[in-house]
Amino acid sequence: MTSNGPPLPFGPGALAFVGIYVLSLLGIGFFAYRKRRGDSLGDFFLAGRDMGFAVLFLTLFATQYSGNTLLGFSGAAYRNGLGFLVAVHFMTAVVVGYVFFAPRLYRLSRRELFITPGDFIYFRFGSHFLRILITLIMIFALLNFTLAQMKTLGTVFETVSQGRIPLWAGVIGLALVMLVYESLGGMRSVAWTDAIQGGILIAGFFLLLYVALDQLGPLSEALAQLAAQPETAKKVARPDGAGGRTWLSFVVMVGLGIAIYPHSIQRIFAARSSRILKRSLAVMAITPLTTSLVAVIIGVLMAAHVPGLDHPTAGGGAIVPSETVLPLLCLKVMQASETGYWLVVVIFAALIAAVMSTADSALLSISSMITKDLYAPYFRPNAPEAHLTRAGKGIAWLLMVPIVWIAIGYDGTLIQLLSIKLEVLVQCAPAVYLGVHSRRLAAGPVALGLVAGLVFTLGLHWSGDLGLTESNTGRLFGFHTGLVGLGVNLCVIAFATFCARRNSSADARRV
Amino acid sequence: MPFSTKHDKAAAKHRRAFIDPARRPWVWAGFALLLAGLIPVWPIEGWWWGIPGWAVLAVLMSAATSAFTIFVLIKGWRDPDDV
Repeated sequence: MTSNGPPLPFGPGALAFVGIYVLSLLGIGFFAYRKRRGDSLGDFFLAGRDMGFAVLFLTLFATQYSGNTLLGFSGAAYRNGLGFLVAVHFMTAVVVGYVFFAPRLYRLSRRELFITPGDFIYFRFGSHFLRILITLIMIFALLNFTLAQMKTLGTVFETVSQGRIPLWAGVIGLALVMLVYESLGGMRSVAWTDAIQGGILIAGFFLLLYVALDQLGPLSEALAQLAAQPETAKKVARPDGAGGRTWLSFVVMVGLGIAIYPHSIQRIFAARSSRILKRSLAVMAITPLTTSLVAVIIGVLMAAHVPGLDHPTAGGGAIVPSETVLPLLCLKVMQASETGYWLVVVIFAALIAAVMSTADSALLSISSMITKDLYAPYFRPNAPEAHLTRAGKGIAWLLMVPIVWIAIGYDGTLIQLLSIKLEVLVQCAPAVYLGVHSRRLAAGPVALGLVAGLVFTLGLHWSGDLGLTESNTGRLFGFHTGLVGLGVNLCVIAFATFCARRNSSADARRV
Repeated sequence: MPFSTKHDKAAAKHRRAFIDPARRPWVWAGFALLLAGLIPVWPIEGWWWGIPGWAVLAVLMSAATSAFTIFVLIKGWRDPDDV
């Protein structure tokens, strides 16, 4: 962008538009503060478990589709061509994932008043070890996520201001805005700002599709152009055998993993009724066709019209060149007409919305897990809820300091971050998906499987660094190491459950 | 056990009225078929409407999965607490 991509000619009017939008979020935070119904954890972290259809759908949408969808997905589609249609499939698989645990988990959450996923884990398995381990894994995944969002936020703001607002100032300023509105209204603030951000994001995706096709011509011409060149023909070719396995691996791993993100699970807890939850999830099932597919189309169009950005070394810097295809497209549109200029302003507002809505949800979720799953049970077991709510706010402010500090100095690609955190998070899938259905599954086998899955996944991931193989193993026979680790995880659970039952039957016979 | 300990008849009837889509075999069968269709391993040749046939099929299968998911959520999930 400014330092890694094209400088975009935003004028004072555009800056004022973005500035007013960001400041309006503080107003929503104040309004949410006035609407609070007390200082309980349920009111602060779950908006009083009273989210209606529009807010629930838009907050699910804005949280699930982040800056990575716009920048990372279009960049990946630029590099991989139609092969990245897998993004449409794996984002659909996320909603399928909800189908397999949300109905039962929602019912349990209404009865047991869960605040965090850790509450469910402890209720279901009665194990402190499992609750702490799963909470720490979820915090790791969300910290990773928040870091990437904060980095993107600073870069976008730097682009919008053409370097007049440096990256560090953008990150710190927007972090402060987020912290203020989040501290004021908790989940209510986050969900209401998400609703606005989700609305802008939906409009942004439709605008993007329109400007991309208007500026670059039909998709069929771009595809024919890619197919005609030997060096780009692979971008329209059907994936080979290993490609097909990786496709399957993506669909299963991302589908299972993203659905159990703690901030997603907490939105299930926050629904006013199961009718509202099912309707919100039903609308979510359509969104991959209006978001991920748009990002893929943009990536493919840009691959045909602006070649040469495939290789990470082409431009250097924090963001790989292919992830600048969206700003490049915006530059073309801005230079074409006055209307195009204002369309791009709205698109950038959508980008900021995408990033902020994901980051604030993740931050709130992290602070709720530290407060409810770690601080309350192990440091202040008898603390009143008002104290814990205040502690949650303080934790969010404390957490933001290292996050901002690392975000300013972080270097890496967005899509790599997405991959690493999911490989770890998906190891928690058996505890949630099986735990919600099986009464016989015990804490011991689940904990053993989780540890085995983690060791196997991380061992493969860093096998090169550990000297076990020539280089680190990202995939095994086309399957992600996280999914292979999940296979090991499930096998250990099955074996340990079988052994435990055999031992208990032998004990029963002896008695 | 952490699951419900209420044993009165009304509560039992209430529990039975809850239908979880994950316990319905046709839901599993539907998603398994769709998953098999989603993976681009089928020998689809040629171009449809200026787009490679396999890519058109991938998008159509995605649309079919979305439609089936909506059907499962609306028709396959019944909760007596629905208001």
